[in-house]
Amino acid sequence: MQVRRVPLMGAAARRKGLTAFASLAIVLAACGSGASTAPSAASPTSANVTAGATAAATAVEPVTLHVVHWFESGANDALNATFKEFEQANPGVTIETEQVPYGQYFQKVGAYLAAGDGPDMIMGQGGLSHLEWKDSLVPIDSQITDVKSKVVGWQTGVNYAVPFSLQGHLLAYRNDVLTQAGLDPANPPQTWRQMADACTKILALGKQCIATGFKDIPQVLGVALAQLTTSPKDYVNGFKFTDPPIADSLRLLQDMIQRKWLDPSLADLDRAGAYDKFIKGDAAFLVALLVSPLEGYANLTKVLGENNYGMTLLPTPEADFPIPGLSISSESTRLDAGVGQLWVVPKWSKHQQEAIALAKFFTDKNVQFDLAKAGAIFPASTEIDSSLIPSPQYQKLVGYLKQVRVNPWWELRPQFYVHGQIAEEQLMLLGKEDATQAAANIQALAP
Amino acid sequence: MKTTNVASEGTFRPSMRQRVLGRNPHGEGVTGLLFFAPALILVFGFKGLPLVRGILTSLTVKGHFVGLANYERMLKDHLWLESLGNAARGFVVLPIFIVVPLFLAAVLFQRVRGWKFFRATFFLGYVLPAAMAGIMFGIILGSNGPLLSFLRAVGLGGLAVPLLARTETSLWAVYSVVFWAWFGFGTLVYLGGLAAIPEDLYDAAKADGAGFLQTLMHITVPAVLPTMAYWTVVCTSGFLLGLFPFLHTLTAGGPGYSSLLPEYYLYRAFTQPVDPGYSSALGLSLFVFVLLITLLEIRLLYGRAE
Repeated sequence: MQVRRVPLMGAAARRKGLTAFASLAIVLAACGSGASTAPSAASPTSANVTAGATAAATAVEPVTLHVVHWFESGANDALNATFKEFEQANPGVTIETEQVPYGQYFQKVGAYLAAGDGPDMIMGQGGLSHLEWKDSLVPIDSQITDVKSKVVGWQTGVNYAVPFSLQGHLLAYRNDVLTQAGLDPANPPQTWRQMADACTKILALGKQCIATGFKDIPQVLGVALAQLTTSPKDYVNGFKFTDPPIADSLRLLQDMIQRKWLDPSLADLDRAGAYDKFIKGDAAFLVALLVSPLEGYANLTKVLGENNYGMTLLPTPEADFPIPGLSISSESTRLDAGVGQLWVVPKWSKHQQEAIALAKFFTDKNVQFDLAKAGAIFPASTEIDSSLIPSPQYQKLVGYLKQVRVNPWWELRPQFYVHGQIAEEQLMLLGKEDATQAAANIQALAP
Repeated sequence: MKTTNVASEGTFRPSMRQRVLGRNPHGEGVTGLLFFAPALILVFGFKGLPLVRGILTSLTVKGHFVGLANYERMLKDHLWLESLGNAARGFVVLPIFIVVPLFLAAVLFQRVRGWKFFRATFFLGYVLPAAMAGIMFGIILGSNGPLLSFLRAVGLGGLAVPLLARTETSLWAVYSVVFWAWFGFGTLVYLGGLAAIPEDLYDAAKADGAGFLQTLMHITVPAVLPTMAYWTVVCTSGFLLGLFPFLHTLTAGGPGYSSLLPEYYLYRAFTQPVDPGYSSALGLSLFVFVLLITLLEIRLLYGRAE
């Protein structure tokens, strides 16, 4: 006998089910494509607000600005206080911030650029690293005429950014270690010869001469040394690592390694590790920055005490020492003072005018002063009285800045060199390569 | 309702409808499909669509279609090739990842004293987030870390080798940390496989006077071959796609390029500078490579297991 199988659903029910399924599939597929995180080719939207368009800072409708930055700890607090001031001065505008640690910052911004969507205002670094984003940024020349005289660091060509902080490389040193080595902390070494003499005495104590991380992104020393042989104009028109002034900066690094100012154990040390080494007194010098949560003057003063450390400029190489025939640009400098931090507004922002107003807010002298006093920035302002900031170390740095020209650029390396330079410098440190090979290998990475 | 087509006596040729819905003329295939559909939609939405998008992006540079230019660039990219070379070298330690957990599982299965404690502690490495494990071992193995400092302090300075700071040892240091993180999970996987082996086989072997190693080689290993195959596939794909947290925290691919692996190079290619086209090409190539290796392993290992 044949068994009659009873269908689970009638024909009408099956038709309804199929229709529901098809609808669900369409809806979920649309949601799925919206949730997709695959990178797409960057396709900046056309400017949705022209120079003469609406949306002033005091918006009729509430506006929320999403800002991304890398400031941390005290600098983050100072920045948030500044955002609060702007909100109070501009009712209807709310600022939401996203703090990304510096080590991952440019990857995060890269993801935003690839997606063509993201925050309304982005912190950037003066130099090529922000100019590489320019296809996605709003040019602001027509909107900065009222603030151009307030801060330094504007580009001579098209401006995409509002500069608000300066940056530069120096050497911090511990007074106690120098004293122990028989050196005078009030007169730190100024030339390469003097540094060689000092490091010999420091190494005799069993200490490291210079601490800096070779693992991190970005690695600081290579950039610091470049200022001694090159000038910004060497970079602006396109450069090669094999060009003499730039290759010679790597030869200076090689000299430091050969003289054992740098220890191979630094190869797996990041900037935080190098900082720890310096704070513990295991190293005499630390490659430092004008502004940094670790190596900046504000933190070093807080941790070591104002009178227990000093900051000096990088030692000057001479034409015949350490490298005969060293190629030194006439515009090279012992302090690569340039625009460190700036704000850019991407074209995808739906609140470009508000974002530009917020960026310009940072040029106000009171805002600059408050941020400088908190150690969050080194002011780009032309209007503040730096003597009002009660820090002898700060005043010393201001004195250094007066000796040099401030450039609109600071980070002059295109991004595609960064990883390669770190890797090649590590190989130099370990004695696997010399400067000539390293320069050639880094240059080979250029697209 | 349509009847089936019968071409000749005794031959069953299903209609198109039956081929789509299954041979059950009452459409239970539709019901099954409806139950399966949500998972299928999720997979399609979150895996399939990004894959298609990635393929399309890999054919572009800065949004412009360039055909296979990114793939041609990949074949000449010496850093990509170097990362593949490092990955190939890393496979030398794959047998350790496969065999050691089996041995440990076999020991634990004997219910030795403290076996529960050991089972829990073995698994600790797997429970710890990979990035945390990387940070922890980065500190421990660092040139100025506690391990090397201790060795120097007790007069064993000769053994104080900064494994992460040397090109010769950095890659193996990374794999050592990965082994610490994964071996516990592998042990648990094998314990599951061992639990399925009939007890009487062991009783019979014991009665015949077989020792631990003989039992291991002649009963345990053949019986857990399917489990071993599974674990091998997991480790292989993990070697190629699962080491990023360790690499990023321990060595960042250095010193030099000594511990640069394909997935880490892919991350760098995407972000500095922003180059979604090229990084998509690298990612797809890696995906195809992993897929082929996995299929080959499944074919070889599962076939042998059967």
